[in-house]
Order: sequence, then structure tokens, then C-alpha cells
Amino acid sequence: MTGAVRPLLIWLAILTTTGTLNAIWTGDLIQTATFAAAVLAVGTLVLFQVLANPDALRRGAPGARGAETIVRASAAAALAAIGLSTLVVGVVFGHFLIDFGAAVLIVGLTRLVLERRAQHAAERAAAQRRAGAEASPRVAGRAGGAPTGEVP
Amino acid sequence: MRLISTDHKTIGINLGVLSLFYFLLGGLFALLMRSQLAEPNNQLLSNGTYDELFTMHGSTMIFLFVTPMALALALYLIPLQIGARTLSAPRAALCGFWLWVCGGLVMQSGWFTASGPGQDGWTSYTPLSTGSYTPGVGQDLWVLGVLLAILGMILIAICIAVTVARRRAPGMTMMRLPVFSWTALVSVLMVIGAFPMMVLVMALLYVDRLGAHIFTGFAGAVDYEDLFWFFGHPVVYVMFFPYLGAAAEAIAVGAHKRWFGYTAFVASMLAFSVLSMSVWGHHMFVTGGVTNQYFAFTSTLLLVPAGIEYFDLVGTLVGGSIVPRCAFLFGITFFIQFLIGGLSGIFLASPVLDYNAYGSYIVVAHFHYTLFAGSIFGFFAGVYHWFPKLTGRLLREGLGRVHLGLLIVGTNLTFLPMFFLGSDGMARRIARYPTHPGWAGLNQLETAGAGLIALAVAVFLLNVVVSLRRPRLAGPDPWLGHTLEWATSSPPPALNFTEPLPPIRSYAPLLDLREAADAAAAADPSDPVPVP
Repeated sequence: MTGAVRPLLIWLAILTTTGTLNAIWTGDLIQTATFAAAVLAVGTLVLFQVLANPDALRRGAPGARGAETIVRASAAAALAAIGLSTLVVGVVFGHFLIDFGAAVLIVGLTRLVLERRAQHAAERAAAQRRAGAEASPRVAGRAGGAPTGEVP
Repeated sequence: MRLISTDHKTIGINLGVLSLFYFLLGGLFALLMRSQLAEPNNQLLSNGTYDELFTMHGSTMIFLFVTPMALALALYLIPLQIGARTLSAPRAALCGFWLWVCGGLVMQSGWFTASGPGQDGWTSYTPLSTGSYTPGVGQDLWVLGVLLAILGMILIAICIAVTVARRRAPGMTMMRLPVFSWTALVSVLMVIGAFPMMVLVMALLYVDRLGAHIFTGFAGAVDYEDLFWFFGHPVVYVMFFPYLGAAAEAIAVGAHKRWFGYTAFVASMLAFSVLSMSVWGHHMFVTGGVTNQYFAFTSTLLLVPAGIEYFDLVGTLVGGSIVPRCAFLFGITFFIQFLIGGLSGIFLASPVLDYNAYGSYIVVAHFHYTLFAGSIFGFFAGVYHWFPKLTGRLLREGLGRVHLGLLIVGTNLTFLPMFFLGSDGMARRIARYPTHPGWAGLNQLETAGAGLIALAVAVFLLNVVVSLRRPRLAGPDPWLGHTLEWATSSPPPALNFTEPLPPIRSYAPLLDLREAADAAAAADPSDPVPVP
């Protein structure tokens, strides 16, 4: 992750410059707001990267990654998307689709949370095993419908 | 299982194949439109059907083919190029894919409603697209379909950006990212920066259609255009940069030389992408609602980074050992064809000239040379370059050359006459034109050209079928590639790499290895080093 956000910061700096130029030159509130929204969107992404790993700001090459669990499939993600879409279309066609979409969305999101928890549990167990501590061999099983595997 | 797989390659292929289907659908709409315009006062289609067709042609091509296909290429290739085993946040990418699928279905489902699908152009300007002027469920479905598709693409873009940030292989600094990865990265930054505005605009437009009157009067219409084009212009570059990267990779590999001027190229991509987010007002010169000088200035500035890319192209070709395979030829054609679109863009960046061209076929010609020629040739360069990686099989070179020839002739036959028709005053978005000296002949040429493009696409599909049914195996690296995707098997295994990655010391690590081997062999001919 080292150095990842430096080019993004340059990108943001150029965008801020053109946005500022626009604000000075045109004085148009809507245009300034759109520039600000774009800076905010990409800036948020950069901020998350830096908070997740301060090395993102440092110059240099990334090192080797540790072990991690691999998610091979997720019915929950697809369900959440289909639920949200059904809900949105329900705005045109009526309450049944809104209710149905909301229900599918809730099921999808709940399963997503379960998948994430299972993944974190598998990662913790793998980390313990690597550290030589007693660890459960039942790592990386099927959890919440998402088969996971472990990457050495 | 494939449809819920979180493997970046599977999501990329699913997205790419579905996008290709939409390309054929959008192409069918174009053929119907061109059939209508083949003769003056033709009665093949009604005005309303023609409106629906040009709306859905543009929407399908932009929201459902060119943009998602660019993201599909990035999804498939970026983890491979940066030496990553997986995508970051793969569930979000899968969720994004399904949102996009649903968005596409919702948008196209308008065809099955009594009011028909969207009919206000892909821009859906207000007040035309408000409930008063375009009532009916079809336009609602268009608005919500676009919203969902865009939301899906934003999610996919975030995953790609985070993957580049977090999952690069040891040694892969940002200044060692392959050329394609850079072009895709700046594109996803633009998606993250600009596309949320379109989600907002579509949501507001839908609420407006319910009777809220958000975009009312002259100010409302200008505000809508401002917000829309803040998305609408960057999306043009999202539809361009990844294909530029694909063409650049194909050319560099075909020339057996690393891409010239890498650092300048990266800097130009950063500047190009930001500038392209600062020029949207040139679509609104005639409204009188924007400061034309600012947007003319920033639009003209785009020449500088574009010039650097062409300079890099020439630098790559000079002194190269060129093997003109299909991927290389498509790449070169991409740059040549896009040049026509780019040069005509300089004129349209001038308010004075734009006042005359606005609403005419000159604009249609310009954006088809940038969008169609500037995307499709790069896309096919990428297809011929990476098809062996995706499938382990080579596409037929002979059929590829027929495909290229037909596409070049078809493209220019279709879009070049539009410049002449536009300068002669033919307006865009009309189903019927009067009998006018020269117009019928030029329109018939365009219709014939559209037919040739369709034939070229048919030849490409034939090539794919033949290559899959009678395979010629490609091996892991049929072109002596430069980047890490060629260091693994074709198609790549589940976690991308089974062997340790080669040392990464530049943006062309495999070329580094070959050059080191050549240098060692030259230094000691008695002890040849095996070339990887």
C-alpha cells in the first residue's frame, strides 16, 4: 500500500486548482458545489486509505502481504443488489415491489454481515495458527453461504 | 455459481459479455435509425419511435456498453497487472455488477410499456424530460435504470481503486504500474468523482417528474445541464482512457519496445483526467448560462496532455521491431481515428464556432469519432491482445484483418459524411429530412457504412466462435508481453499466480527479464541464459 495515495493527492490538488479557478472566474455556486463534491468523494477515498494504513503516504514499494482469507462467492451481495433494485423499481410500480425489495435487501445485508463476521473469524484463527498458538483447525469453512479459502 | 462468484476475472468476464450483448442491441438500434435516414422523408419509423431509438441507442452504448466494458477490462486485468491475487472488497464489486445488471434491465424494460422507453435523448434535458412533457412509465424506468447502473459502476470503480492502492505486489510502486493500469486508475477516479453527481441528478429528476418542480424555468434547465454534464463529460473520458491504455499496451508489445515517455504519460493522464472534469460547460456554450471563457480555456488546454500521448506513441514506434499483428493494427488505427475526433473537438471548444455547429450533425460526427472510433478500435486492440490470456486461445489473424478493414471503411463511411451534412445545416435528432441537394446521397453512404460496421462486428463474432471451437493454443505469453499478466497461465488460475512473481523493477517487468537475459547472453555468448 506504500505510496498509493500520493498520485491521488496530486490528482486532488489539480482538481482543487481547476475548481478554485472556476469559482474565481465564474462565481457560479452550482459549479463550485459540483467541484467540491468531486473533491470530497475522492478525498474520502484517500482519507480511508490513509486511515487504514498510514504507509499509504510514504514513498517506496509495497512489501509482501500477510495471509488472508479469500471470498470465492457471495449470494448475499447479489441479493442486496437485486433487493435494492426491486425497491427502486417499486417506486414506479407500487408498494408490493417496495416491500418485497426491502425484504430481499434486508436478507442480503444480513447475510453480508454474517459473511463478513465469518471471514474475520477465519482471519483471526489463521493469524493465531501462524503465531504458533493453539488454533482451531476449523478455519475457512463455509460461512454464511460464502466459501472461503486461505491464502498462504 | 459463476453469477455469484467474487473472483475478479469472473465478474469481469460476466460484465464484459453482458456489455457486448448491449453493444449488439445498441448497434441494432443504430441500424434501424440509419435505415430510417437512408432516404428523405422516409416513413419507415414514426417520429416517436425514432426518438426512442436514438435515446436508447445512446443510453445503451454509454451506460451499458462502453463504460461498463472499460470497467470490465479493468476488473479483469488490473489485479493481474499489479500482481494481486484477488480484488479488494470483492463483494462490493459483485453487488455493483448486479446493480448494473438490474439497471440495464430496468432501462430496457421501458420497451414493454405502453409509453415506450426513454425518449428524451441520453441527456434527458429538462424541461423536456419532466412529467409534464414526457409522461409515462417508460421515461421513469429510464431514469431509475440509469441511476441503478451508475450506482453499480461506482461500486465497481471503488473496488478497482482500492485494489490498486492496497494489493500491489512487492516492488510494484505506483510509478511501476503498467500503462493500462494507470489509464484505468484515472478512469475510476473520475467515476468516483463525477458519477455520484449523476445519481443525484437522476434522483432529483425522478422527484421532479413526480411533480416537485425542481428543475423549473430557465435557471432550472441550466442547473440540470450543469449537474448532468459534470457527469456527462467525464464519462466520455472514462469511455476513452482504458481503451487508450489497451491500445498503448498492444502497440508497445507489437513494437517490442517499452512505452515511450512513461513518466510524462502518467503526468499527462493525471492532468488529462482532471482537466476533463473541468470542461463540461463547453456543452452549454449556447445556453448563455455558463462562463464561456473559462470552459473554452480548459477545453483547449486538453490539447497538451493529448499531444503528449501522441508524442509517446510516435516515440514508441520509432526504432521498434514492429510485428503488425491485429492488436497492434487496431491500436494504431485507434490513435489515427481518434485524431479526427480530437481535432474536430478543438473547433467545438471555441464558443464562436460551437454556436454554429451546435445541434447539427457536426457534433454527431465529432462525438462518434471520439466515442465510437476512440473506444471501439482501442477495445478491439485490447480484445485481440488479451483474448489469449482470457481463453488460452488465439484469435485468427486473417479474420481479424478482415474485421479491421471493414471497421475502418464502415466507420469513416458512416461518420465522415456527417461533418459535411452538419456544415450544410442538417440538424441532429430528426427522423425525417427534406429533399436537399446532396443530403440523400451522403445519408445513403452513412447507412451503407453502418451496414459495414455491422458486418465487421459479425466477422469478429465469427472469429471468436471459430477460435473457440477450433482452438489454436496460445500458451502463457504468446506476444512476449511486458506486464505481469503474461507471467501466469492462460487463462489464469483461481488466485492468478501459482509461480513466484518476477522481480518488479519497472512498468515492464517481463521485458526487463528478457533484456537482462539478452545482455547476459551478449556479454558471455558461451553461457546463454535461458529467456523466460
